[in-house]
Amino acid sequence: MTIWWLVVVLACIGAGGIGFIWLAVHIGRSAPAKKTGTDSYEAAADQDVEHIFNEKFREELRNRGRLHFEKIIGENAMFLQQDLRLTTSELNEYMKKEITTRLKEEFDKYEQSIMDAKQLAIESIQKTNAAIDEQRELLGQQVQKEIIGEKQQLVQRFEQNMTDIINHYVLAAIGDQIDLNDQLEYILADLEANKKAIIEDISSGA
Amino acid sequence: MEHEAPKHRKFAGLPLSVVGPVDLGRLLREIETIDNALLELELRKPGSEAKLPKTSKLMDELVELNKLNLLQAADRADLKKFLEAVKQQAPVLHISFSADPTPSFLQRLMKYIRQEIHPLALVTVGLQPNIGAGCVVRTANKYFDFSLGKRLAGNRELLMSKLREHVTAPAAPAAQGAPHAS
Repeated sequence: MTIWWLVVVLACIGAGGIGFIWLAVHIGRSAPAKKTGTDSYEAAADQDVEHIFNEKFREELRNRGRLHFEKIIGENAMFLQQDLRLTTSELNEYMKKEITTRLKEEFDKYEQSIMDAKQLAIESIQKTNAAIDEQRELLGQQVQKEIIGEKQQLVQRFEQNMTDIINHYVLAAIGDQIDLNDQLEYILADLEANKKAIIEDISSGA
Repeated sequence: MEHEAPKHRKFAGLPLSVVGPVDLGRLLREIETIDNALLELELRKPGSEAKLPKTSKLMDELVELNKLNLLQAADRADLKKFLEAVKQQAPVLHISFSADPTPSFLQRLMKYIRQEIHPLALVTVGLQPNIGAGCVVRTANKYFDFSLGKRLAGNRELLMSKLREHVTAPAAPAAQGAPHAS
C-alpha cells in the first residue's frame, strides 16, 4: 500500500508541475489582436494596453510568476522530499519486517528440514546398527558352528588315526628293541585263535 | 603222522628246517644231483675213484626223518616223487614279519604249523617293517592281520576311553612341590 501511495503522490506532484509550466508558457504568449472595423479604437486600445502592459511591466510579471513558480516548486519539492523520506523510512521498516518475517520462515523451514534430516539420519543409523548387530550375531553363530564342526572333525580325525599314531610312535621309540622271538608266543596264540579259519581255507582252497 | 605220497613207502613228513617252496626246490635239485652222481658211478669203470656228492643239512635231516638210504635208487625215486607231490599239493602260508626271523624262531613256528594246521604246510616268509610287532598271515583266500597296529585298532575304544579320562581329568597342580616365593 505504501508504494502505491508513493506513486499516487508522485503522479500528483508531476501533474501540478506540468500545469504550472503550461500556464506560464501560455501567459507569456500574447494573442494577436483581431482587426475589427474600427481600427482607430483598436489601435488606441492597443496603445493603451501597450502603455499599461509595457515591456517592463511584462518583465516584472514574468519575474513574479517565475518567483512564484519557483516557490511552489520548492515547496512541492520539500513536501516531496518529506514524503520521500517518510516513504523511505516506512519502506525500510516494511522491508525490514518482511525480510525478518521471510528470514524467520525460511530459518524455521531450514530448521525443520534439518530436524527431518537428522531424524532420518538417526533412523537410518539405528536401522544400520540393528542390521549390523543381526549380521554380527549371525556371523558369530556361523563362526561358532564352523569352529565346533572343525573341532569335531579334528577330534574325529585324531581318534581315527590314533592307532596309527601310537603304532608309529611305538615303532619309532622301541621298534628296534622288539625281539621277534619274544613275540612268538603271541603269534602262536593268534594262529591258534584263527586256526580253524586257516585250516578251512587251506582245505577248501588247496 | 605218516603220509602216502608215493606208492610203496610211507613218509614221516618234512623236517622243521624245510620251511618254504624254496627249500623244497633246493632238495629236489639236490636229489637230482645225487641221482646223477650215483648214475655216473655206476657207469664208471671199476677201480676208478668215485666221489659221492656232499648232502646238505636239509637233505640229511629229511633222509634221517624218513629213514631213507640215498644209495638205493628206489629210495631216491620215492623221495623225489614225495618232494614233487609236496611241492604240488602242500598248502603254502605267506607270513610277514617286521624283521628277519631267526632259524630257531622259524623251527618253532613250523613245528606249531605242522602239528596244528597241516603236516606238510610250507611257509613263505616276508618282510614288512611297518608291522612293528606281530605278523601278517595270508593264505590262498584269506588275510589275517596279527600286527600291533591291528591290535591297537581293535582296542581303539579302550585307548580313546583312557585318553579321554586323562584329557577330561582335572590337571594336577603344576608346581605342587615347588617352593613358594616369599
